[in-house]
Amino acid sequence: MEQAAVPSYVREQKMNQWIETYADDIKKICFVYLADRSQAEDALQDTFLKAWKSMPAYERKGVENDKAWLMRIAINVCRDYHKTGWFRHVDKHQDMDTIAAYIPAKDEQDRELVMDICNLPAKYKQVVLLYYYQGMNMREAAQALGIPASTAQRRLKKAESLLKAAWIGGEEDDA
Amino acid sequence: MTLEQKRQRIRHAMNNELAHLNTSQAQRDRLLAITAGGETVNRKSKLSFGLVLALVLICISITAVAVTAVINGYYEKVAQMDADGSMMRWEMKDKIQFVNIMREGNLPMNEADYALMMNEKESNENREAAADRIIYTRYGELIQKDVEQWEEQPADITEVAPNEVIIFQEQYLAEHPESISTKEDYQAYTDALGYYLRDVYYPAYQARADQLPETTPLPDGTEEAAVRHLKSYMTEVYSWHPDAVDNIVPEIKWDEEYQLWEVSGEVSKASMELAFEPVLEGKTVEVTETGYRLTVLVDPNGFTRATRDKQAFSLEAQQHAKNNQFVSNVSYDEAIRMAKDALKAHYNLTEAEVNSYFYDSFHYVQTGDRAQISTITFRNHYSYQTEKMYGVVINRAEGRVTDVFSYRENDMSPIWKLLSFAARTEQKENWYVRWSLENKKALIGHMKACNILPEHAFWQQADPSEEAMDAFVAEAFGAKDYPSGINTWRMVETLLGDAETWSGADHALFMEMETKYNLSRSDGLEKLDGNKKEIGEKEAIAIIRKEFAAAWNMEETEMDAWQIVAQQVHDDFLDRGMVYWRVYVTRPMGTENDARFQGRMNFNYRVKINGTVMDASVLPGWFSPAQHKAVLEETASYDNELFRHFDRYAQQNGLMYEYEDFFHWPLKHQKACGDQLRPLIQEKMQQDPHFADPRLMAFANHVYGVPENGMITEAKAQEIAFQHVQKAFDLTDQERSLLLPETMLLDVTNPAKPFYQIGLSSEERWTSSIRAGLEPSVYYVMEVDAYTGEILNTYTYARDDGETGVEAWERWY
Repeated sequence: MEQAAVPSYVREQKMNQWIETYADDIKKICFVYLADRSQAEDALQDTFLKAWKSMPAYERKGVENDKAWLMRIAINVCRDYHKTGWFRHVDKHQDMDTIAAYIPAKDEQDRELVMDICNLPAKYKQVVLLYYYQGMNMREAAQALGIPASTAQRRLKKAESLLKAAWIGGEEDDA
Repeated sequence: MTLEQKRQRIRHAMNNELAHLNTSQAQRDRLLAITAGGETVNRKSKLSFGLVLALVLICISITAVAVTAVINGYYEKVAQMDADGSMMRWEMKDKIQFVNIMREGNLPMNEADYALMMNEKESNENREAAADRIIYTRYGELIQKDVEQWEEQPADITEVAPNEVIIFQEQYLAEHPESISTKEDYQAYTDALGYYLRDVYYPAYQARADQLPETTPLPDGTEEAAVRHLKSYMTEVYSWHPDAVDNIVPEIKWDEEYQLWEVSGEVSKASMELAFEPVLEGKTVEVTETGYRLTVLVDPNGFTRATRDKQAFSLEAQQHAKNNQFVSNVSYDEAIRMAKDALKAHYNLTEAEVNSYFYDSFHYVQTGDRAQISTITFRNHYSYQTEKMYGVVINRAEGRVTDVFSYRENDMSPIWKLLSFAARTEQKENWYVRWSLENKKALIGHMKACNILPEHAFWQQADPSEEAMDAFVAEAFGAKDYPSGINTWRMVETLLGDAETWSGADHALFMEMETKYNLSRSDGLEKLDGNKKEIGEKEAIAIIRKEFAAAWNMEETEMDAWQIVAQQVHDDFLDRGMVYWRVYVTRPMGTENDARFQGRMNFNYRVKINGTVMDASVLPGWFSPAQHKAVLEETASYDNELFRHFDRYAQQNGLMYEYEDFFHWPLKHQKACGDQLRPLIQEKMQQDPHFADPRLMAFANHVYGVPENGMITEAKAQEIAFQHVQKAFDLTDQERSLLLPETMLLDVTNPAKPFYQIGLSSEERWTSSIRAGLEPSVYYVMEVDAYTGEILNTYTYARDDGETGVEAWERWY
């Protein structure tokens, strides 16, 4: 008798665990990527929908790093959003202002750093978000982005140089 | 700045500034329902502010319709057409019907096309094409904009009928020809859309839908319903193409033992070519000679799973039935009517006022009697960003209103005023212990109004000190030994008790508050065990000193000259709030060369208030002293002699030492370092035939030089490159001004034909170019003859999504 790969209630539990654990992080990454709160909410939903539909592939491949796998889906969802005609017609200057309006300034230095990250070109933004914000190591970040680790490394270095000014002004860890 | 410092810096900034984006439990539950539960969401009519702007810009170009010329009923007729499925079917006869409705509404159209469409002697193909021209001349651009939001693009735009929002925009823009340029304009637009949908479109839609026998849903528990569930599973979960699924010939058999249907169907392989990311593999999909077969089990309640394990399915189905059973004797429409009547009575509102409100609802099943409880919330704007005004809770099993409440501050009970105040203040000032004195006093005022601990001696004090207030608040909210842990959630638990006992109004108000103020919960906090006290600053420092010394195998006294300080942190970015000590350890100046620490001068650690040192198991990057040591040692052992040579050269010569900076170096250093590296790399290649690090291959295959007698200078070569780019690609002066030289090298691999290679891009001003409205530039690479200045080759490639110039160059070089 043919057996299902995984009982469905186990999958549902898995999905529930992912949502509870990663929803906030994914939403924030989508927001930084898309510069629009409602788009980020849609992207969040699409990410988990795709993850649910790809569960069989996930189980079959024996994915070890859930987070990297989900982040990859989220980034691809955001990339797809960027490809739509609507984004091509949107004044990105307004996008940054919209982001600024969405971020209630709790700390000016923090806000500046977040805005600088949002201003990064997409390929740098991705690696910064995964490596620094999500705490992934280079291999995990590269896996999430579907690129070689060496490429991820180079992009990260470039991103750092672009963010240098923001960091120099905002360091709080130096005693 | 160290890696860990960078991580913490970014993480702190991102979490601090984007905390408002955290999802609530309700939102996460809905996510699960949408994904695993198969609930479908129609995104087609959702418009964001930005999309409305884009649509409006297009709409203005459409010939405006004089409102007075429109025959009443145009939009109602469209709604009725939509209700009977014509818009979904969208065949020739539907398009003709739609055009005739347009004509009755006095909408302009090409008369020749209309005559052709109506001519029954014409071929169907020509008639449909004429109808398409009429419809898509008017609505094509708007439909295209809408379709671009879809996940799956239609093969042809003429497959898509105008939707109700697009139809509405015509009327609205005729009355409001000015652009939607402010939030207030958008608010007015969304309100008008909301009224249109609620008062015009949906009643007409519903009137038609009610007449259609085919819209009566099939009850579960039948073979037809089981087949329907199979088809839904195929399309919704497996993403098989709907057209293919519609045409399956299902096989179905009833299992008497397990009381379920086993339903299967097959689609052809060819039909899956049109599907978008279908699931065609795995143990649940059977690949046949001709296609793909899926088998599902369906129980009489409609519970469906793609499995053949009947026993496991049966158990799961029973549990699902148990979890999802509920009692409801009141229809949704009746519940709305009950809610409106309750509002009128309770808040003395008129019929017109109540009918002007927009409403939402959320539902849950009460434990015990499994009664369906619906909370209807009312707001006075269509936009979902508007705050709610009222709520009504209805027990739909008993058919009665159990609660009527207001979200407005003045109408709230003293307890909810206190909680609302606490949540607002927490959002600005973090947990109670960090509040200003003024807000602490205000909280005391709310506590008085709530009559909390009325007999307590605190209330006898005329002007209590801040310490006295803190102690009283801690005691009142059950945190006597844990004052740092007082937050809004702790107050909610104390004042409202177990969530199982809350009223419907409590649930609704709490969900609203949690979402609006992004509260952090306290149930993750670790309460102290027994008599163990919360540790203070000195104890936290002592704990870290001891662990650090042990990790590095040094005497603690050696750290006496070090600077070690601690700061208490209330960390909200973990999904369960946490309070801990952050301990900063800094080595003294003059010890930079101490090899034990790999040059690292600063360390920081986190200690829970119960004294436990947190480590990477809590959060990646939160190293304990022992983990720190291990990480530093691992980094030091990285052994790539070639890159270390590169690094050494760079540091010795004061150059940027990241690999991709090499081609920004002065040419003399490119030559010197390249001449040093080349033999090393070639030797490595001889030792290891598989060695082919792409980052180093350029050094192995190219010789870099400096200008010699007779060659043009670097500056001259660069000027030639700029002039060539501007002329060849017809750039304006502004566009040229955004270009910067990114790479410069002199390739002397062939001594007889040396050439400069110059890369130009606008990368350094990437965002500026975007802001200026320019498309991101391509990356230009030119080879310039080093003797004659002749342009030998020019290469360009589009920069995709912020690709660096070096990356683009590397692809080519």
